[in-house]
Amino acid sequence: MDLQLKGKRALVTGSNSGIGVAVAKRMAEEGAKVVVHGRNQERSDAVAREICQAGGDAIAITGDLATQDGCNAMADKVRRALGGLDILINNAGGSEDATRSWSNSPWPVWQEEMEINMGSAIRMIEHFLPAMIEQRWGRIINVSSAQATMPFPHSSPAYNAVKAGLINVTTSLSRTYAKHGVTINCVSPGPVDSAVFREFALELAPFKGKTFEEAEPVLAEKWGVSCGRLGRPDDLAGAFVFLASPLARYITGVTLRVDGGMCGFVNI
Amino acid sequence: MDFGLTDKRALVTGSTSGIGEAVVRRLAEEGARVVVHGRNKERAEAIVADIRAKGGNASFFLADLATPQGCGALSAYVQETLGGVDILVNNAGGSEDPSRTWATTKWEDWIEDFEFNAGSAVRMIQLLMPGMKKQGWGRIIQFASTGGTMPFAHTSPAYNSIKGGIITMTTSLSKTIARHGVTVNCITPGAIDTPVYRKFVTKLPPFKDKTIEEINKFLAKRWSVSAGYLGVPDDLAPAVAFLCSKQANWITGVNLRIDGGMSFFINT
Repeated sequence: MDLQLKGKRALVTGSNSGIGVAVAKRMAEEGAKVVVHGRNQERSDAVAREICQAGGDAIAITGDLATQDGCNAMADKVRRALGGLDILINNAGGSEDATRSWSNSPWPVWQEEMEINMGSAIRMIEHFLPAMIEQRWGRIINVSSAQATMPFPHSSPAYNAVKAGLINVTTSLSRTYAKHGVTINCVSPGPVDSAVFREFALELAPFKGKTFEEAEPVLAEKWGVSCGRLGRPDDLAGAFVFLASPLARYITGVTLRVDGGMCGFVNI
Repeated sequence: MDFGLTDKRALVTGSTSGIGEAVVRRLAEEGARVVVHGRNKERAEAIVADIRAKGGNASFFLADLATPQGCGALSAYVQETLGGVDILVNNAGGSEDPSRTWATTKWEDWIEDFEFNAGSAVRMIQLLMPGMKKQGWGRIIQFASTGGTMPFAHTSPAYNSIKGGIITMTTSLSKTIARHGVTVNCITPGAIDTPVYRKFVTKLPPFKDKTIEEINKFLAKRWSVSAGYLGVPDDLAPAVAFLCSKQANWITGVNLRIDGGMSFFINT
């Protein structure tokens, strides 16, 4: 299906690894002009180069979105490069330490998670939403997590709470601005195989010394992923690109689970 | 984006008008071999002829899915003509009288709404899911309603309750069948300008002598549709095609709102 994204200007934050790379590549395949973003220049350049070599249109811009100054600088560079944005995908985020639990998450950790995961998204929205409203077309896609709605005990309480906040932000923004032709949605991924994920999962006690292939079915079973396997970045890319399409104009304020059926409660 | 729907066998129930018609047309455009179903021969013939004229592959079958006999006959037809289906879109449903309230809904009306909306879906699933399971690939799409999650006072209590049940059924079924390569998802449409909708609203006393544009504008405001307008059937069809596509392999058990932001609560 032609998703009508040719020539659209898209920024995918945090797109020099994992899910972000797959989304940036897919967006470029659909004809969008893509800004690849990350903190590491070399990796970001490599992703942009790969897209261009495949016939796509991409540039790399680096910056630290956990700070106001970093977001301001990033937004300036994006505006200079593309004049503005039609599609903003707030994918940057994560946790400095995925093993944090209630007993080792003092308040500064919460503040840090808030800056990385919520601050990055809110600040980029503040920078780019006004021009989307003015041109009466725009797409904003936030990224939550299955753990936002289904937190595991002992597992990343601050990160999970902040990700839950993004679901609320999505509906709130949508209710405020949908009438200006801008849709605001959220994707909630389940566990996806990425370098960061492997580093974390293969450090867990039962998997020490095991390969990812050995750990995967055990983890899928343990976490109740109905499909019986974890996700791949490419399993996520289609959902982002579809929500960004003009064909999805009437979808707004939603959080779309892409989690292989991991969330076991009804989706209302 | 490649949806991988070429030559997939698809049955869309209730596809001789409105949302179902838009869905069956989209699937045919994506290369699927479609079966149009409804109760009106003239409309079914016209849609099939039009799809064929555009190079698509379509046939139709008339049946009343509120009865086991009707469901059995439809299933036998698709088994005979296509050898089964890869995609089942349970769109048939509605209410014989959308003006029913708590005060005017007799228990018999509950049974009638139940047969028409849940019975049609459950029976088609029971008839056609075994083939999907056997071949290790399938897609089932259900249709709920914003009434299912956000019922208005005095409005269709039976219909709304059953639509709520359709969402629960989606989650339950998805968990049961996901490991066999079959995904089960649900769409929750908001206020969509379909022929059935028009027939209903234009008869309401306050809208006598009003144009459909005036009515839609009034209702979009009254129902707090964030987008500010009512949807059209083709606002839903691309999303159905996406959920049926190979790009949505890892999406199952979800209920995707397509309501222009009409639902005012967060989407978990």
